[in-house]
Amino acid sequence: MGDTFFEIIGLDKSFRGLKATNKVSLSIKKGEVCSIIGPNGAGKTTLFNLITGLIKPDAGKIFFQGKDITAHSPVEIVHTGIARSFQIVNNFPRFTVYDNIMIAVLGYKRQALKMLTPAKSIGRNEIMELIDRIGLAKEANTLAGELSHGDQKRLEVGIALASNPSLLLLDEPTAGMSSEEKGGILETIKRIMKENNCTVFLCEHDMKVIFSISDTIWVLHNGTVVTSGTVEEIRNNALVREIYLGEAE
Amino acid sequence: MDKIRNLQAGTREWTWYVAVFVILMIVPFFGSIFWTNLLTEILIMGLAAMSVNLLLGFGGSLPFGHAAFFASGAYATALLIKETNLPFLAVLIIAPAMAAVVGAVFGIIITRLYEFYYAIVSAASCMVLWTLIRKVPILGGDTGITGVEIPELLSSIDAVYIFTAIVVFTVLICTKILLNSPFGWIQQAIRENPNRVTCTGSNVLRHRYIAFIISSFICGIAGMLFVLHTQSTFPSYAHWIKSGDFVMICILGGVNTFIGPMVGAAALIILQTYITSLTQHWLLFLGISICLLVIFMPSGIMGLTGHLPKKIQSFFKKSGHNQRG
Ligand SMILES: Nc1ncnc2c1ncn2[C@@H]1O[C@H](COP(=O)(O)OP(=O)(O)OP(=O)(O)O)[C@@H](O)[C@H]1O
Ligand SMILES: [Mg+2]
Repeated sequence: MGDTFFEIIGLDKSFRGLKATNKVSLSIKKGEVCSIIGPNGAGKTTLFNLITGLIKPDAGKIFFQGKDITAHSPVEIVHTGIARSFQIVNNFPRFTVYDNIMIAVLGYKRQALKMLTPAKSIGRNEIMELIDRIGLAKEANTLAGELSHGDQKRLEVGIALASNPSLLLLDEPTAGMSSEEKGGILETIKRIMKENNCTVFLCEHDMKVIFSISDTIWVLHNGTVVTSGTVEEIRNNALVREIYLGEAE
Repeated sequence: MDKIRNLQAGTREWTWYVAVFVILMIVPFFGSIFWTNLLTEILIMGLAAMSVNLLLGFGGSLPFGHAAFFASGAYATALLIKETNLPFLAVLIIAPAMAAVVGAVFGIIITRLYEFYYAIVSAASCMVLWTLIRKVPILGGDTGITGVEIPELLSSIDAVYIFTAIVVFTVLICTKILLNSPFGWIQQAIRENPNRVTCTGSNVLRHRYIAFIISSFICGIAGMLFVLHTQSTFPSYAHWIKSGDFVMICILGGVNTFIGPMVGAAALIILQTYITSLTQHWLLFLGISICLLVIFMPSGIMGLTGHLPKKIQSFFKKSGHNQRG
């Protein structure tokens, strides 16, 4: 256990009898892009909610860098180095892009209770640098709620990055984007991985996206891990074609 | 979409504050006793409403029980002066601190709740305190505590007024600094989206709790000042209707602005005073005027100021453009 970067063992979660997560076990190696695929309702978002502590599992354990984080609060989990973006855009719509990132930076730096220094004087350079990195430099003073959908998705990634995570969870980062926008954000994610030296765990519906970026892929169906493997293995797996690609057509 | 106004006070805003402060300082020398009294009351009610707005406009909660902290500050002041030999300065600090302690106790439950439940439980806890105050003999029962002796230095109406203005402005400046600090920004972020704040590593529950205590402390200062003003304190200070007044003042003045509660307090108290002198059915007219104000100015009196300068600005921009063209 101690040697794996991130590991889940036998995770269970039911909602009123519905097994959203059913004995899920998986592991992620440091530095890789690990993806999770599965049809709607497979339990991908639920898995992310469990990892980030927003909901507690009925059974099972979550290990991160050798530590058992199953019982940690969402705030503690952020500070151990796991941050996430949300499938449905989840920002501060009436704050500017800058202020959105600033809130996350203040949280990461544990400055939330500081009362005497002006917030705007904290981390200016690194906030601007991060905004630049997610490609929103021109929009720094735009209200988050007035950004295009694609840019809100970028901001979503930016807010997660502000926590300086070593494991970055991305819940459908390209959902609802045009194909050019998708290409752009994939490049951004790849670049960020190198620059921030972080590991990425993402879930996606778009197979093109998954196959172009992943090192390892896990397939989830009705809350259960069906199979896992490299891009080639998953591409040629008959069962996956049946569950996933079959349904898509 | 409304832009969250940048709270960072520009030089122009500070100029305004200094100007208003200077004018307020001059009032007793030119105005009548009537106006001095009225202004004292406006400043105190404005301060109490501002403490409410810290949680309402800036925190997204609906505190319907702040009369509890107003009364705590008031009763603590009256009791400490009457029953102990503490120096007056110590009373000025301990009394609001007592309100903060009450806030810390009530806040344990209240700050775990949201929206409707938050409002109901805060109102209910306020009524618990109201009942207690009337039952405890040392607090004077239904008649309250009267004849509170304050130091000679503050015994004139003018002196109390000047003292109130200085304290209120000091607290205002501190609040402004607080709202611009990381604490204030996270507070506003919690209003916008508490879950996202949690997921970025700030403890929302602890934050709301601390904000609640700070708010009750400030409300306690208002209660303390009111005792200096009236030299007495009554159970009605703790009644939830008083809490409702504070909330109404905020809405009247504009919850999205820093200075709104002060403006709201001025509007309500002046309205109250004039309508009372005009008709017996003043409560009816007061109610109607407030309804009209809220319907036609949903973002309060201060909501007007946001639009006017913009219109004027764009007018000047346009005319400047024409000249060049
Ligand atoms: N809080 C909840 N309460 C009740 N049921 C829930 C809750 N969250 C998820 N579920 C259910 O659990 C199942 C898995 O949902 P989940 O959101 O994890 O799927 P998903 O793989 O992310 O799907 P999508 O691709 O549509 O995002 C669904 O049937 C969903 O209705
Ligand atoms: Mg999902």
